[in-house]
Amino acid sequence: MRYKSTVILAIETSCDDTCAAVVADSVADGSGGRRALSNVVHTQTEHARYGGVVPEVASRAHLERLDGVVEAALSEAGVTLDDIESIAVTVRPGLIGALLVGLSAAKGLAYARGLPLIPVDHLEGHVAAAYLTDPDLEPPFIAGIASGGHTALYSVDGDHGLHLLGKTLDDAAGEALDKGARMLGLGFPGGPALSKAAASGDPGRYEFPIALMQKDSLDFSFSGLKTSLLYRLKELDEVQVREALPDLAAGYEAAVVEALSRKLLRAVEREGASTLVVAGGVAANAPLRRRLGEACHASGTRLVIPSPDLCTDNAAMIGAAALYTPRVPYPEYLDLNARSI
Amino acid sequence: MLILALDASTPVVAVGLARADADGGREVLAEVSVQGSRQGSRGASESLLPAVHDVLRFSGCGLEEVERVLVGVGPGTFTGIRIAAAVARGLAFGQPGARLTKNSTLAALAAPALYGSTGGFGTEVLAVIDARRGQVFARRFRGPGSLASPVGEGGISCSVPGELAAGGEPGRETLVVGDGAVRYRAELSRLGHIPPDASPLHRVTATGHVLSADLAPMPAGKLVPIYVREPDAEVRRDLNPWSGARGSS
Repeated sequence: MRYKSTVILAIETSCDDTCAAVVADSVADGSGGRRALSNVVHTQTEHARYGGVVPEVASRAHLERLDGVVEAALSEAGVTLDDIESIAVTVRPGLIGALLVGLSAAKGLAYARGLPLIPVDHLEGHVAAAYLTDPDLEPPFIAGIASGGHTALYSVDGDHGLHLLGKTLDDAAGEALDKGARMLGLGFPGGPALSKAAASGDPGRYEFPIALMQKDSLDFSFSGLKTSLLYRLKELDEVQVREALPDLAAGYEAAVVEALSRKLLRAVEREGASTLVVAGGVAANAPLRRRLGEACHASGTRLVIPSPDLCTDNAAMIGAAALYTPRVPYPEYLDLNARSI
Repeated sequence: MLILALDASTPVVAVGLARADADGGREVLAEVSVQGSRQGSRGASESLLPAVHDVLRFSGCGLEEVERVLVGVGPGTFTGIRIAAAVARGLAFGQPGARLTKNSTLAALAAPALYGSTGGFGTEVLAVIDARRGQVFARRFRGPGSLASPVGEGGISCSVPGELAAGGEPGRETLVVGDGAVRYRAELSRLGHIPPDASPLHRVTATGHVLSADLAPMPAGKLVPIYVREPDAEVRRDLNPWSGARGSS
């Protein structure tokens, strides 16, 4: 299969997922615009026994897996290296040793093929996942990213440039959900486990604080929330906790959802935006999708939330961001380096 | 057969282009050696591929003519070894005519010393790479015969310099080389002669790899670093909190 327009091989190794994807933008030949032809994610399971991501273990696993993941991405897309017109790769932010595996392989491959390289910011990738979800989406819009590692709010201008409007001052939203789930003795990943427990709960029985609600701030804070849950738990004995678990989970999750929603909607209103994009792993949260869906419907705001597999770390989003990122021509990228922040 | 050799296992990034004859002769056409940057092993990300580009340009060869990509797989700095291995895998993935092959960085370090030592081929060489945290990676090699054949079955050791055992044969002069020998001269001079700090014998070179590698082709999956040490479990819980601990924050 050959494409007349841009076909990009994208590589993402910023944390503990080894990812490769083929993304095509075939507007020119009328075959359907931006889309992921493949999106292969290998989630490293080696970290479970350590209780968190071990950077050195992640780097070793990326090196072992990357070739196989890239081969799978090409084969699932039904293309060969001859069809690839440029190589996109995540260069920041992330674990430096992990990023360097993907960047080194991408540079070596691009150099061997005489192709341009497209260095991509991981957070711009999360936003760009929306371009694969809604092929007609064009900036300007407001974008919120909420994941286990990041929580930030951007204004995206007509040239796809990101301008930071606010960010978390302590924990990321996904981190707050995971920590809450852990404190309640629920499983991992915390977000889905918390949602499951909260489904039959009454979010009004236990109220949790929604931080930083000053009128003009678009920053987030979630550390007070988890402290508040800790104090709640101290007031209750084991039997009471078991009885109140659905209500505690519902109240806690509602506070995270409400904090995120209010800031996102405030940003839309303040910037006079007509479109809101929400991405990152937390964007898969059903109550958040519902809350934002209702609010956006009422205000006439267009809401774009990628499917769950495009919300968590993946390379298709890196390829999508690459469509709007300047490419570095062969061989000017040979000394390009990665950055942890 | 044209060979592209890469090593970033130590603070020196070494890249060379060499030709191997059918009768076993090996000739280095170009070598670029870059002393480590202030960024440590991450600096290899900036110097390795430009050096590849330079050796190809200097020798007037194209990457498509290369039949072996020879990678120094350590031991040494984990990040540096991985940068070289990932670059090599990327090159070979993009140029299937270039098959991957690997070599021990300690063997590459010992090879020029075996050639160049005053004792000729009879000399033993102890190759010592700084493993940081007060430790060294070391292995003993002996000529003549097949160059840089390792001595003993113990393999590569990782130990504090003071515990490195003397193992030389009586009557043979041992030459101790490598950045580990320079750094721990006081502790290691009991094991043999350590050349002056500025001696080129202390540097890992592409020439040393070309002289000592067997060049057997292998699939990418076999091209794994010689880590020797287990990873430190410096956990980033914030990135993937799989911890079962309750009530922690």
